[in-house]
Amino acid sequence: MITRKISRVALYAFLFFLVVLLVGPFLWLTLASFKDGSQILTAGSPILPVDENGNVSFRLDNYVFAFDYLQLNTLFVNTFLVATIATAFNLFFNSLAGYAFARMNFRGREVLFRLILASLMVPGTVMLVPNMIIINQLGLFDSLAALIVPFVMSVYNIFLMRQTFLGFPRELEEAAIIDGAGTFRVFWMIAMPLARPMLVVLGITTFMWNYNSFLWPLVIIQSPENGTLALGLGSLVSASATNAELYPVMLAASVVISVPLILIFLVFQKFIVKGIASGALKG
Amino acid sequence: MTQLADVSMSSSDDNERPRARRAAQPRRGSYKATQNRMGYLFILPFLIYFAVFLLAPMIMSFVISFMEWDLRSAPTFVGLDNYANLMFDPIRYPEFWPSLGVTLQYILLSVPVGIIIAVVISAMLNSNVKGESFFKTAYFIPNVTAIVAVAAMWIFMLDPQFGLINEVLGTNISFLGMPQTALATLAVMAIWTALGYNILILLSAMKSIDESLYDAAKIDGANAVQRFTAITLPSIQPIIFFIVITGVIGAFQAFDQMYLMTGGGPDGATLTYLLSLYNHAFRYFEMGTASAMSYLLLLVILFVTWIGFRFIPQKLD
Repeated sequence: MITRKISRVALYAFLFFLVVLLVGPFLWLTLASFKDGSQILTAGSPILPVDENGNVSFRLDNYVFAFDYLQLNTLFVNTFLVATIATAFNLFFNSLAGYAFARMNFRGREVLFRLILASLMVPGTVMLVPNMIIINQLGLFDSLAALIVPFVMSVYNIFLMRQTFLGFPRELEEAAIIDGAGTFRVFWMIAMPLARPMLVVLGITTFMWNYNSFLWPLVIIQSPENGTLALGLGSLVSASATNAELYPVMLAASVVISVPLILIFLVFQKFIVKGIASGALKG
Repeated sequence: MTQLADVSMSSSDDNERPRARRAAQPRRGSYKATQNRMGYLFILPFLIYFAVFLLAPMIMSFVISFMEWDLRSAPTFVGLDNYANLMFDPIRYPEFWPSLGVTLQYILLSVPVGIIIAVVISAMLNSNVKGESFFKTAYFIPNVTAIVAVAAMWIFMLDPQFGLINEVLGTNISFLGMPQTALATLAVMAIWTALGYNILILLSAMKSIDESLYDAAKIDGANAVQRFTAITLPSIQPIIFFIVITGVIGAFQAFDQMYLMTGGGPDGATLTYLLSLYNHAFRYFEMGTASAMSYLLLLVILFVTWIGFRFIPQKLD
């Protein structure tokens, strides 16, 4: 009994140690971002930000400087605009296609579905160069639209929506059809509300993906005013890798960029946790 | 459990219906004709998207891979030269094989260790731990942070002078600055980032295991370790397979961290395949070479996946 208790204590100690390992760096970074620039660039400075007299004091200098230096206001607007629009398109069109593949018997459905699933095997890298050329041809190079258009749908999400719709009992929809409801009405008024938990998951993961996306904006965006948060911070990070002087701005900008996503995650964590698990189990 | 099984099961189930109706209502304007029309209407947006942003790029990339093209002047057809030069002309493309080697090393350093750690921790969380959802949430935090912000944080933590890691160790090591440690450091960072995600998936797989299996094993006198190896591991094998495959495919395309933190250095120690591809495409404007590289990557990934399906048992039957 005693050995059992000891092993339980050790287990919890380890699990908490892991929390420190995985979350601790964020707290450390956040605290450091409120320090005076010279303090950040001093070895062995205290963990809490302090002033000359040793009192705890949170300074916003780095944040003010970061907003100014990176034009964070503009980047915020751009990023939220891009991620929100892309997510809205994704939710609607992926559901539409997923519903058709789950419920509607049109000719060639199975062949098409298999073809689409096969395309999941193709890494995004293959599309990088040609997509840049296509976006160029469409006259969208270096525009916010270039960040949205190639990502308005997702094969993987269509697959997940199809699985979701397949999981619903047909009776509700059949009853509506007998009552004379058209196909779109059945989809919109019956199937979509039932799929709400999955839609929340897909909405959040799509939003996060677009918010975090780095390589594509790096390729397609040239003007700083059309940049995203990830791109702006990215330029700062690659500069900081060789120049420690930029650390204070970089820390503040990292906190600013991380906070929205962490908040969204904490608010919707139940949905996300369930959705990711079920997506993997189904996929 | 696997998606293929799922797909074929559901499709055979659905096909019963139209066949029955086809016999009953063969007229035009019938239920079936409406279904056809509405079905196409529903997937039309996707078909357009698929054609423009998936199918066309795949074909374009394939065609460009046989061209020499710098985007400015007209492309010239060079046959298989791009492929041949990449593979057999180390003077022109000295970094091709090394970058593939670096990528394989990176995969070997990050994927197996990361999954073993995740399995062990999931098993710990699966032993009636109080506050399980707190731990799951906390462990997932690195995953919801932009990789760019994670890179920023790690650069700061790894700083030889002011970094937390060197402070804790009492050293002044430039982990990212030395060829021996740079790639391993990035691998550790990858494990750190993905851990929460892997735990989430593995834990939910463990939760779906039938409790009675464990009860029976207990009655038979199996201890915790035996129950883990005899019941838990075989049951979650399909999910481990899933994580290995997606992890390997993801690691093959690792780019952001290397671009941001090391730029492929020092001495090409972190020059991954995708970073090298990016350089060819967007720094040297060798679109043909980059496209050939992307198709070679596709082949490698298909091969790895095939190996996976062929040799890793996915189900316990």
